[in-house]
Amino acid sequence: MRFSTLVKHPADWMTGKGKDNAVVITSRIRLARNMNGVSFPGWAKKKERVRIMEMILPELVELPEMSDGFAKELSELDSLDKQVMVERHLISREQAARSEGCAAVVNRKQSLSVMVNEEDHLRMQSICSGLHLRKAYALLDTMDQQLEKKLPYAYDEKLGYISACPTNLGTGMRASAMLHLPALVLTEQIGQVLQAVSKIGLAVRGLFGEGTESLGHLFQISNQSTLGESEEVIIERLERVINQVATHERNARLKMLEEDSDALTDKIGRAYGTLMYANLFDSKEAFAHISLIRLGADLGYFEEGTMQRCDSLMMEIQPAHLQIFAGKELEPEKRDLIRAEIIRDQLQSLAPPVSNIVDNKLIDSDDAGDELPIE
Amino acid sequence: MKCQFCENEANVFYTQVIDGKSKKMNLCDSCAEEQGVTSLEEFKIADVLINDEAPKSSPSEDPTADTSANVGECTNCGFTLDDLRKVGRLGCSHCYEHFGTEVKSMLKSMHRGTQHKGKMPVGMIAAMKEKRDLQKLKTAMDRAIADEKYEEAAKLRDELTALENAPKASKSSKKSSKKKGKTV
Repeated sequence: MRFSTLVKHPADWMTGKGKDNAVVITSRIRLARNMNGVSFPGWAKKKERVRIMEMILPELVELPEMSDGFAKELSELDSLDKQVMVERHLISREQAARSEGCAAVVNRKQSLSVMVNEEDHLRMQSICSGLHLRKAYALLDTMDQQLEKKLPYAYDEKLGYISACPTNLGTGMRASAMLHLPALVLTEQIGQVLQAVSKIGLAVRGLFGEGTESLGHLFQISNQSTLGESEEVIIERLERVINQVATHERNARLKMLEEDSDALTDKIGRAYGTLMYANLFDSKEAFAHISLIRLGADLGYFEEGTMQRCDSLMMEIQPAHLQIFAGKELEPEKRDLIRAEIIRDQLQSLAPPVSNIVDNKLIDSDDAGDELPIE
Repeated sequence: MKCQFCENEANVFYTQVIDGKSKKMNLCDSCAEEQGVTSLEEFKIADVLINDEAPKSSPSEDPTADTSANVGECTNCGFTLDDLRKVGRLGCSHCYEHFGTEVKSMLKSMHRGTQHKGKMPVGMIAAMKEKRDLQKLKTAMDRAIADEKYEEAAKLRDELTALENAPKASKSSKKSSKKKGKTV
């Protein structure tokens, strides 16, 4: 697969082509693996790193999962290409900064990607739409089982899979989900919820400003501990907690709709108006408005398919995607102009929001089990 | 409010909560972009914060840590404890044996347990065991021949051919994995 093909056909999970991803947008599993007896990428000399890559890369390319996929040494990609892959979560920001002796392999559907010689010799990742951590894990596990027969993994009975950083020992697994939590932010419950999640040893990452400001109201919840528990136990706990957070978000959405629908309609209408008529958008502002349209789409304010459009937009307006679209490198000011253009273009046919009270019931949070110590 | 990295006005307010401990940062747009805070996944700054936290609680508080001269370099890759303090990562898989005590003292604060309970590379272990078994038989056969115990040698030769022609790994894998998994 050529890079242009990869750019032209985003994965299903990037464009929201999944059911039930209104709150949990994506699920992601990452496994770290290393080769026995050779230096980790960060410590290896260039020559050794290249040798390790040359040992690993052929095995990856031969996997049935990777047939007709994309495989390149990072030195073969220019910085804009790398940036596009970062924006698509196919490689990390750290990996994008590397070149010789480091590689990226992506399957045709862009649901599986492998970084060679990032922090660890192998970093494999599987992403899917909605809350499906088990499914994402199963896909990676199959791939891992094939690789372990070909590659001399570093493994220890006590420490499990050996990783460059001790924080990844054991399963080498980081499971995470990306959540869209606008209602919890708008109703100012987000602080409590995130505090509760972090108290039970899970990590929450998000960008949020003072008060109700945040970048697209997006948050990532992931496991911190990788040693001492099996993959299943880690995923189960994470899934339970994510489900609870999602339930809180859904209830907050419905409550806003029931008790404060005028204010909600006003917010969504303003976001719509701004997106339709503004001429300059930095990412932060654009994300904030698109987030509200996405919320409105879930609550029946817009026609079907609007949520998917929002998800595509959030990808397309990021700096590298935008520059690939424009066909040249652009200064930030120029990007703001193009960004507004893309948004207007994409939303042109979108009818203004209509307040439709959907017949929805609050979900009793007891049903979800109450593990979260929310005060 | 001023950006923590330069004199510009801060526009991005980053908060990270891990284990109930929250860390805050105020950055201007350009520093935020530079630090990778504008992307939600795997940003540099988060790594800085985490790495700041993790190894600190460990070797420096460990009374044995300052005897790094005794521990010296990893015999496999030349990595030292000083390097570990600097970067928070190790040099190679062998470092975990070489700096076993130091690493062990770090694990408790990082993880829910210190004993791996997850999946094992069963296929790899089986493949390695098979290779080891073959080698063992070959050595035994050679010794038998040298000792002129031809009957025994013939028996070993038959075992060897049987093993070589046996269907690969997977079947014997479950049993073998439960025994010895230590391959580092």
